[in-house]
Amino acid sequence: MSNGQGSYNFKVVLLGEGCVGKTSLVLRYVEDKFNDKHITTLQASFLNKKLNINGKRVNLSIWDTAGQERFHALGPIYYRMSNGAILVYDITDEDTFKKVKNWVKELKKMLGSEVCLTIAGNKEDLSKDRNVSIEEAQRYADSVGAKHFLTSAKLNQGIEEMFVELSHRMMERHAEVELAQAQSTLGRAGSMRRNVMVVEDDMMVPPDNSVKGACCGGYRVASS
Amino acid sequence: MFTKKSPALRIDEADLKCKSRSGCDFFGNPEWDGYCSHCYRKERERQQNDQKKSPNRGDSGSRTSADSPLSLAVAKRFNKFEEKKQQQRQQQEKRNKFSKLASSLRKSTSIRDTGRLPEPWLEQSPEVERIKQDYATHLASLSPELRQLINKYIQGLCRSVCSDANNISADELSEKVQKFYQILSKCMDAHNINQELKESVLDYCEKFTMTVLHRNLFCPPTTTDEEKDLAIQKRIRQLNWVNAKHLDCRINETSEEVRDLVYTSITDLLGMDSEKAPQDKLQAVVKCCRNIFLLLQSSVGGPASADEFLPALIFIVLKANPARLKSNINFVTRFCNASRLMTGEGGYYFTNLCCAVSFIENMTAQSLNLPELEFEQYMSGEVVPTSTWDSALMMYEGISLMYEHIAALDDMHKRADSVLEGTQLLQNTMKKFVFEMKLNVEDILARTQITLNSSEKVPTDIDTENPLSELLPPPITPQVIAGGSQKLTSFLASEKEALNLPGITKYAFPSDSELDALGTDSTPGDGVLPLPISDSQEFLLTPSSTYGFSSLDELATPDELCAAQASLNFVQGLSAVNYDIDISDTCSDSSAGLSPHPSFVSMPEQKENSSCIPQETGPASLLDTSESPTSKLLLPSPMKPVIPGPGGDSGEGSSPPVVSLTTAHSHSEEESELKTVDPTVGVSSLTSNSEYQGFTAQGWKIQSIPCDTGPSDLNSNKKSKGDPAN
Repeated sequence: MSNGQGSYNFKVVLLGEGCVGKTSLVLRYVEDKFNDKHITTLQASFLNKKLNINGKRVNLSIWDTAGQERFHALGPIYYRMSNGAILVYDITDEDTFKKVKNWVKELKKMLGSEVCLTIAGNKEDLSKDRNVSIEEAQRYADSVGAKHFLTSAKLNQGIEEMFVELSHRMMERHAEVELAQAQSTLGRAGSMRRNVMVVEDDMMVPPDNSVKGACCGGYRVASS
Repeated sequence: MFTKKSPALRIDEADLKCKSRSGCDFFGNPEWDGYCSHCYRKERERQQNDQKKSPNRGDSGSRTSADSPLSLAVAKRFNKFEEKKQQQRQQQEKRNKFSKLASSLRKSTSIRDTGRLPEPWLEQSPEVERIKQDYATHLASLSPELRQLINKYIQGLCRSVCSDANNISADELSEKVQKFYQILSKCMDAHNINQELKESVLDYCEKFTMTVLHRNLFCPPTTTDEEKDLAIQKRIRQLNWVNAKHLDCRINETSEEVRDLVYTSITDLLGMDSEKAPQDKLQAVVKCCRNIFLLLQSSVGGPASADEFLPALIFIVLKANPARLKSNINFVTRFCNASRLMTGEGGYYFTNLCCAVSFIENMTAQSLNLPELEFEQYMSGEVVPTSTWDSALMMYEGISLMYEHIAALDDMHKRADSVLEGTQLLQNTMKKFVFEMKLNVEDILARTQITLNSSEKVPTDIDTENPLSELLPPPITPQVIAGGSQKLTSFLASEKEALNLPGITKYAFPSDSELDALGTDSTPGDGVLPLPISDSQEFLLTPSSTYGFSSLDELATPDELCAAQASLNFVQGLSAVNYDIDISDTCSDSSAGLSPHPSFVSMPEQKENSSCIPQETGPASLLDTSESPTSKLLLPSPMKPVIPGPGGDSGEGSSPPVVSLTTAHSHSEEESELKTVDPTVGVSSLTSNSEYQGFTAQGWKIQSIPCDTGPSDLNSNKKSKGDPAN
């Protein structure tokens, strides 16, 4: 989101199963601390990070999401209208990588190509227990148009680069969208309209989302 | 009337009668619609009732139709809410009509007065005025044109929303509002307003319009928000058995701090409904979520992540069961500035709230990790989970109360201790103070000794000066001894006094006989008291024995005792006699009787006496002196018996005790010489004692003489003269 005067507001969601280190990652990035008692922030679920990229002010709103399986269905509510998504997996746990694949599919369906995807293989410090090969992860990332990073919150590896790179891409994407909107005057209204409608949508069922459908079905049964 | 009808002369009487079908016989009146006054009134009442009823009927009909599908689902508790809602809607409708009218009227004039909003709804709510005031400074910093423009936009939105609220769908309304925000934003960008001011102005516009249009936009009649509210409410109530464990959320239900925070966040969440502007609603959610993070912090131990936060929020929503939850959420999603909703902290928390609501709506046995059957049982209320939040709270409440009381008691205990300590301290300081004061006083005394000494001297001087006060140190010591112990003797003495001479004589007599008093002394004594001798012997025994005690016990100075014991028996006897007499004197308040005697005896000696017998005699002498004048006169008689005793004593060497007062005076010089010896005698030496006693006896005799014996006087005189020779 640009709000004029060359500054950007980007919403970035952190997706990934529980215990892959989403929170550590973001805390390391924002507070530069790991498992520290002196972390000043009260919570690690919503954090702002201000960057200056190419002379432009960029404000990243990083949204953490609940990774438990039971909350999986709530994903769309979290990542709607997000500019970027970081999909985190644990390199020692192959299941978490499978989860990432699911998330990517969902995001693609819901947000199309508007969202910039980054796949982060966390816990690089435990590389001796690696269960997800770098090559495989890289190949998959390329196939879905995402960037792949190996990070370690503990050792503070690859995190800064990952966020900066994502910011760059989001700015590019934003510029493209602006251009597209400039070309068609309706574009802006359409996008705005879309934004509004997304809000509405969250309570409606995306027909292709089976999990979501099941939820709402459950609700109807319960309410009837 | 009559004139009216008059042209038709063929009027039937029936035509003039009251029209009412009841057939009353009164005449009707055209002014009363042809009724008689009575029936007309009835008719009017009936019509009025009908008029009243008819609109009511229409309303209630519509209401019931609206209620009917809901009322089934709604619990009692929400009937009120439902009613309120309905009223609101009616008011809204009225207002809409009114505003439409107003706006149509205004169309002609609005072009002129764009500067101000004359909308009738504005005056109604003070909160709108408050918002205006809150943002007055921000608005003032805008250029007048821009301000006008903004006002125009606001006006336009209000008008169009008011006119269309009931006709177009909520989505369209939402689009309208969002467009409005965008236009405003663009407009301000065009005017190069700085970011901060733009934010606050946008904030103002949003708040203002949404507050003004709240009635129109909140839960618009075209939506089914209301039903959704009730559905979620019912759902949450069904799920009231869900506790923190089911949700895997780490809320420490038994910690007081956490419990308080839970309540606070619940209150915050409930507060959302009372706010009107979407950003205020968002703020309420933010407050609630911050409190949740606070309470999570204590149980998680660090900054909580979304993994912990979402379950906790779900838990809070379940426990809060906020009113009109869905309506509020929809209102915010529709009419809150989309950019705000999508980025800021408020947006994040709001999104989480949506997630929580969605989760609650779709909650299944699976999502709680419960077996299907158990979940169904819980939902249908067949089984109630044992460890519910409520029971935990109830238990905890009691325990916490107990702990509070214990803490209070501890506190009181501590305070009591501190008070005790304080008193101890105070006591110590007081003691110290007293001690120091003593030291100081002593110090001062030491420094100013002279004055004190002089003061001490003063009494002694007085004594010495006072001839009467001259203490008979020697006689007094014995007195003290006797006085303390010999009550019997004193009684006896007093009895004797009562009996007067005979008793005394008896007493005195035996002493004489015992001591082998000189014939001269005894003979007169015998002569005086022949009869009572037999009795006197008895008396003799008692007094002597008593005396024995007294002398041993009460002679303060051991020297005296030793001396006395060592001395001849008869001497003891003599002393005893004397003492007894003395005691009787003291008992009869005449101890002073002795004192005058020495004083008479020797003025100059006093100093010597005092020096010699300082301890015992000092005080005694003082007493004596004070009493002496009276006692002298009063107690001559008791002394009389002594006379023979001393006479006996004196019999040994110097036994001329019987001396008249006059003689005493005359002999004063001689006696004074003797007296010098006296003190020493009284204290230690036998010989001197005997001598002295003789003198004392003389002294008494001097007093007693006048009453007693003429012949003895002669003897005493002779003997007194003999004494000095000794």
